[in-house]
Amino acid sequence: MGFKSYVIRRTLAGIPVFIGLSILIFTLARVLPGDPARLALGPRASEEAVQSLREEMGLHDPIVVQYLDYMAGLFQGDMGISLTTNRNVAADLLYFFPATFELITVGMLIAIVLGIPLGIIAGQNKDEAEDNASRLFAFFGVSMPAFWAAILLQLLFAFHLGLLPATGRIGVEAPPRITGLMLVDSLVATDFEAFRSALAHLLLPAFTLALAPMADIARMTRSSFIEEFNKDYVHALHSSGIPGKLIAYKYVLKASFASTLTIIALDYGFLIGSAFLIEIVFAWPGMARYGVDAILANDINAIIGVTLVVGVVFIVANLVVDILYGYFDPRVRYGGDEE
Amino acid sequence: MTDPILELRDLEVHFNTFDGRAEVINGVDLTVEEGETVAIVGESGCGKSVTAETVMGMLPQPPGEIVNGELYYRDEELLGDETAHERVKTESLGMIFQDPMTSLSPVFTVGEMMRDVMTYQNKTNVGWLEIFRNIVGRRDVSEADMHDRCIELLDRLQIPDPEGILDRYPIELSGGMRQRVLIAMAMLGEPEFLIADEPTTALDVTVQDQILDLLSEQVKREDLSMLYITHNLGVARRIADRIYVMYAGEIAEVGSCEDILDEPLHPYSRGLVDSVPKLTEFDREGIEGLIPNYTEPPSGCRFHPRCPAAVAGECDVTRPPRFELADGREVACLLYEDGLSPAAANEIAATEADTNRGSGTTHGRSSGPRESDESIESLTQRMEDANE
Repeated sequence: MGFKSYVIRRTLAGIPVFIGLSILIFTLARVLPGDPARLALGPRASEEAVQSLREEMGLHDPIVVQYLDYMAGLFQGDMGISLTTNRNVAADLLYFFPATFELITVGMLIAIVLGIPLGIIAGQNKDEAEDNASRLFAFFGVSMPAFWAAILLQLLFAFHLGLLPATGRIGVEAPPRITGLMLVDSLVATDFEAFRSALAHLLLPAFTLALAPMADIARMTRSSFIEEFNKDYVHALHSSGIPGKLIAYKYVLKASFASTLTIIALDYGFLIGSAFLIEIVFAWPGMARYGVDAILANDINAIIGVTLVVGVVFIVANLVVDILYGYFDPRVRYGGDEE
Repeated sequence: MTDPILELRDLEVHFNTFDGRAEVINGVDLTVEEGETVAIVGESGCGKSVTAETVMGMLPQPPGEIVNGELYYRDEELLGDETAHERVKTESLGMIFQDPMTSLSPVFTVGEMMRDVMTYQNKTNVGWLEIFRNIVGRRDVSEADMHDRCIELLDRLQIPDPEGILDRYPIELSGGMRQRVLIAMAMLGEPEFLIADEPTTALDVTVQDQILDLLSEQVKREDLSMLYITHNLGVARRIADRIYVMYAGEIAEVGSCEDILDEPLHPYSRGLVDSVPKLTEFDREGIEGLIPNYTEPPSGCRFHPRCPAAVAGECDVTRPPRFELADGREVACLLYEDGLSPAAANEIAATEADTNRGSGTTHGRSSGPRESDESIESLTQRMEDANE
């Protein structure tokens, strides 16, 4: 069985997960107390008007029919009208999500780029000063509340040092919107001034966001690195004359990367959750404010939309990691470990 | 006699454990002549693998610690000089491991590993740039040459479809195939000296046989010297020229393969030979008890608590030196003091075994006199066989 069929199998396995997720979210949203039609029209609207809106929204239909209607709409890019913005939720999400996506992706990249070397350094110097420093940092990163770290970083970098802007997404005129990702758009428009500004605005929130997963990644890399390093094949390769450094950074690293990947997938999903707070602290115009507003206003369509997007990010992150997992460890591709 | 290719003198290795300091290797001397295959036999935990690891410079330190001893490879001392040891190891030594299932990287193909072994022959250090280049797949050495060399080796080890094997991951191969690949990897570096640490233990008997044949074929063909570690006397008989019998970190007896297996002198060797199951005799004596605790090894001869011929007041006090007998045979047992002939010593041992058996504290199983008679019979029988 080749790598290609493994990728296809994994991708297909994501579909039932998405369907299950959508059923769950939809049902939960429908059984929650509160009448969306009444909320939309306000307390002073006549009962007649409410009833006619309910009819229009399809709230009188059985929940199965409502779900199928919703899914049919979803595939045509119609996620219902948001009660707060009066626009289609799909359009809203398309507008707000890229900012959040940019934030968590850059945050994750920072976490990976810093976390893995930290873990390796710790693993190679087990129980020595480097290891203890790295573990202390990891402990700090996991236990520190993100919003608090955010405020500290703002104080230090924005107010005292004045190196980076404290809030917002861009300081100059924004490049024409293509993907919604400022970094990409500014490059496409070859507007380097905008790129620089977008990057500067992105750094602080992304770094704050990266702290917790960075610590997770470092810890996981450290322990699996140490574990792999004591395996028989390391001695065997060394005795056949492959230099120790190459064994460490090629053989051991690749073998130990699988468990790090798992953590990365989980953390990537969780990052959206932490991003809600971070976005508010840094006034980042992402999905968070939209989501919070939707929840406070009991804006059902928007809530379903936001939750669905979060769920899809989870599914896609896990799918990508599953595929990478298969790339890094051939044993996974064959559906079992024979050892 | 020519200079030995490898000589180990008075090696002492201790381990720091939670229970205290374990004196695992207690004065081991070992020589391997050019082109010779030497087997170390002994039961599990007697220090065979630690000896091999020391020679290979792979002893984990800590917890291990080489307290004393010298290791000469072609007259060059290695234990005191790490760089020399590393150099000799990469240039001249090769090692084959016990468990083919875990001794290959699970995440790279056989070809990738063999290529790396060849690329970094005789290099002990690489720079960051080189590591990066390697990982992204750039190499300086000609692919075609390497390919040919790998194929040739795999072919010699009777691996079917060597081309295909290069693109396979170890999990796609059977145990026997993996062990062949491991031997091929050890041979790739063109070593002069092979260390094999029970390479057939993890394989089933038919495959063991093939692997042994292949291994001895390679050794002959390349005129290699080999140190073969095993607990299997049958394997030792097939492959070794000389045998070192090891017990509790000490050499009990040294001699040619036939001498040791047909006419063992040391009571431990005798017990070991006797422990081999045979189709015709079911009632084996074997050896009672277990390897001693290394943190508090027995005084005197380390074997005396289990020895059927132990003499109270002697064996538990004096550590037996190695007595040299004829034909390069050496035995570390007080029975052979005063140049006693093997036959006479055997007789004493047998009688001692008889008298000790009744009052012996270490024997739970054999207390009846009938059994002891049998053991005398079998010993004298074996002595007669040997004299013929």
